[in-house]
Amino acid sequence: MSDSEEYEGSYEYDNSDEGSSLEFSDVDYGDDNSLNELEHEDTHAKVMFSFPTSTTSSGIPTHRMKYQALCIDEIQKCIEQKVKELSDLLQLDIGKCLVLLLTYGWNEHKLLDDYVNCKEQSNLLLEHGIYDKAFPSNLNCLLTKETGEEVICSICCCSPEPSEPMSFFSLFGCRHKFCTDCYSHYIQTKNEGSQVIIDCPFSDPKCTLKVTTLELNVLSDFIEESIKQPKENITQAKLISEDEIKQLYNLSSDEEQFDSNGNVINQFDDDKEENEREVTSINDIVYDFHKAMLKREREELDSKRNRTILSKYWYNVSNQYCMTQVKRFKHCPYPDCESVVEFLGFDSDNIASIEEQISLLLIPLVRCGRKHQFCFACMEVSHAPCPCKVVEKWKQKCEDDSETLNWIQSNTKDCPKCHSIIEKNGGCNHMSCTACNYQFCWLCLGDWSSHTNNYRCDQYKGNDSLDGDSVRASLERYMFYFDHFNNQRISHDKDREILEKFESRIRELQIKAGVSWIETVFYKECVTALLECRQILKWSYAFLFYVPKCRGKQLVEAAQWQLSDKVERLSKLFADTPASEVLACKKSFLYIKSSMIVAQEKFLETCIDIFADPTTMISFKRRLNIT
Amino acid sequence: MARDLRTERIQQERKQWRKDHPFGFYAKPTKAADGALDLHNWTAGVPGKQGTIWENATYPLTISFPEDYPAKPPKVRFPNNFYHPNVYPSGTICLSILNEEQDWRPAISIKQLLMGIQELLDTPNPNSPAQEPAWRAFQKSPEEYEKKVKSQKLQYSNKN
Repeated sequence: MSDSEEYEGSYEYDNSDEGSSLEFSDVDYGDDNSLNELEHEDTHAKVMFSFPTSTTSSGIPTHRMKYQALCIDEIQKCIEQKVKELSDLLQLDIGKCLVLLLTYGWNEHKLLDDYVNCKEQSNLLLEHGIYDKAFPSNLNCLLTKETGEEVICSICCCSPEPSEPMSFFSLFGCRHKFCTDCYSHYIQTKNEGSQVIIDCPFSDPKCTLKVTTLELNVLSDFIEESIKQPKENITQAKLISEDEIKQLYNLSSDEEQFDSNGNVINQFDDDKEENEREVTSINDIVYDFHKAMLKREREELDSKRNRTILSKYWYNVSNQYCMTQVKRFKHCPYPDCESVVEFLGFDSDNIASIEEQISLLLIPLVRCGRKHQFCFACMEVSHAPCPCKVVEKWKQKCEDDSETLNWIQSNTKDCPKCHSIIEKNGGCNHMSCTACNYQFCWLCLGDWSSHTNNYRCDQYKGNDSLDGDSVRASLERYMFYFDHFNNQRISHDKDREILEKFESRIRELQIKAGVSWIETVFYKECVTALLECRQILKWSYAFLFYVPKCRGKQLVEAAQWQLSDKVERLSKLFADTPASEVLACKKSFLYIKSSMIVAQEKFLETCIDIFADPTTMISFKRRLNIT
Repeated sequence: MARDLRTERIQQERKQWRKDHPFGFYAKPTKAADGALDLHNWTAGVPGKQGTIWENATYPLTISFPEDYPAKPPKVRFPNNFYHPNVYPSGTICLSILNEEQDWRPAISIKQLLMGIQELLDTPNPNSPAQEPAWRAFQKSPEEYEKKVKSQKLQYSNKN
C-alpha cells in the first residue's frame, strides 16, 4: 500500500476512487462492523440471515434462515410486553397474568380459550393459585411489624420478643404471615432451583396461592433496604481484615526470603523479583484474554442479578421462557456466553423447518449478540462448509479410525507385490512377505536381489506409486484430508493463542499513542475473520473427503486454494508486523481481510453450487449413508 | 445469612414434639458415637392404623434434614427393601409432601409429615409405583399382598 497516508483519515471515501469491486466490499464490511459495534449498547432486534445472499452468484437458492440475536434482558422485556398486553386484554393485574402464563406453560391460546369460555372466571383464577380480587395500587400493606407471643412464623417457629418487633410478609390473597427472613430465604431457594411457580409456604391446610411479581417486588425492596442499613459495620470489618491481610502478606514474604537464601535479600533484588512475578502473572491473565473477559462480564451480570430476589426471579422466568420453546430459542454454546438466538423462519417459501434445510445440505449458521458463530441445528461451533451430517460422520470416523490409522501409517508398510500390510518387528532390512513370499528391501521396497548389504540401502527414494484400489490408498486418501484438517486445527489454535495475547498489547499501545479505542477495533475484527476462515478451511477438508469426483469439486478446490492463499497472507502479515506498527498498518490489514472475506464468500457459494447437480447430491448422500 | 435457620427450626420442632405428639409415634435426634446429639439426623416410628392390615406394629424411619431445610424437605426413609407400593427399594418414600417440586411447604411440621406417612401405609397410591413386587401384588393379587404385609408386620410388631 504505497498510498497508505492518503487513506489514514477516511479510507471509506478514498476507496471508491480505486473502483475495484474488491475495495467496495471492503468499505461495506468495515463500515457495517464498526456501526454494529457502536450500536451494541441498545441493539434493536434486527433480523439477520444464516447466509449473506438469498441465492449464490450462479443463482442457486440458499434457503437462508431468518433469526435475531437477543440477550436475556431483551427476552425479559419481550415477556413484560407480552404480559402487559394480556393484562390489558383480561383487565387483570400484571403479576397475575405472568402466573397464568407460567401455569399454562406459555400457551396463550389455551389460556385465552379457557378464560373466555369458562363460566366463573374467579374459579379459574383460584384454580391456578391466583387471588380473584384486584390488588390495591400500593401493596406495602403486605409488610407488617408484629409484636407479641401470639404471632408465630411457622417456618422458623419464632415469635417476636415484646420489646423487639419482627417484620412479617404475606401474600395479599391469603395473608399467611411469615417473617421476612424466612420468606426471602424460601424464595432464594426456589430461585436457586430455577423454580418459577412459587407457592405460599403455608401448609395447614395447604395454601395454593402463587407468589406474583408485584408481591415479590415489595419483599425484594424491603430486603434490599435492610441490607443497606448496617453498611457501616461491614466497611469497618473490611478495613480490619485488609490490615490483617497486609500483615499476613509481610510475614509470608519474609519467610520466603529466609528460606531461599538464608539471608536478608537487599531491596534491589527484591524489586527485580517482584517485577518478574508481575510479568508472568500478566501473561497468565492475557493468555485467554477473551475468555477471561467474558467470564468476568458473566460474573458481574450474575452478581447484579443475584442482588435482589426479584431480578433473579425475572432471570429464571426469562430462561424458562426460552427453555420451553427449544425450537425457537437457542442459547449460545460458547462458555460463559448467555446470548440467545431466536428462530424467525426462512426467507424462502420452499422450506418450513430446520430439518428440511439440513436435508438440503445447507447450514443454519447464526451469530449471537457477541458475534459467536454457531450452527442452530447441531449447536456446534461453526462448521461451514460441512453440513451437520458430515460433521457427525467425520467425527465418528476420526474417533474410530485415526488411532488405528496413525499406527498403521507409522509402523507398517505394504508388500510391494501383494499389498499385505506388514509390520517390521525387528531384524534387518531384508524382508520376505509371509503372504506371497516376495523378497524385498524394507527401505526402498525394491527387489532384494539388487541388494548386497543387509544393513544399508542406497536406492531409497521414498514411497511412490501405489494401486488406486488398495486398502492403503483409501487410508492414504483419508490421511491426506485428516492431516490437512488437523493442520488447520492446530494453526487455528496457535493463531488464536498468539493473536489474543497480542491484542492486549495493542490496547496498551493505543492508550500510549493517545488514539481512540475505535482505532483498534479493526484489529479484533481481523483476528476474528482470520480465525473464522481457518475454521472454514479446516472443515473444508472434511467436506472434500466426502465429495465425489465431479466438475464442481475442482471449482471447490480452486476456491479453497484462493481462500487458503488469503488466509496465509493475512496470517503472515500478523506475524511480520511488530505490535508497535500495527496501528500504522491498519490499511494493509483491512485490505487483505476484505479480499479474504470475498474469497470466503466465494468459497462457501461454490460449496452450495456443487449440489445443484442432482447426481453429485445423490452420490454425496450415498457416501454418508443418508437417503 | 448468619442465622442457622435449619438448626433453629429443628430445635423448635423438637420442643413442639416433646410438648405434644400423637399416640404411638416417636421421633428423636440420633446420637453420634461419642454420645453427642445429632440434630440433623433423626429416627422416627409410625404406627399402623388400628383396623388395617398394618395395625399393632410401629414402622421405623430415618429423617435427615438437608442444609436448606426448611426451604427444602427432609429426606424420610424406611429401612431398605421395605414392602410397600410407594416405597423405593432404597427405602425412599414417594409422597407428594416430601417432594420439593410438588407439595412440600416450609411450614409443614414433622408431625404433619409422619401423619401423612401413616395415612400412606394403608392407602397406597397405585399411580406412583416405586417398587415392582409390592405394586404388582397390590394391583393383581390382594391375598398375596396382605400376606406379605402381615409377615412384614411381625418384624416390627409392638411387643409390650
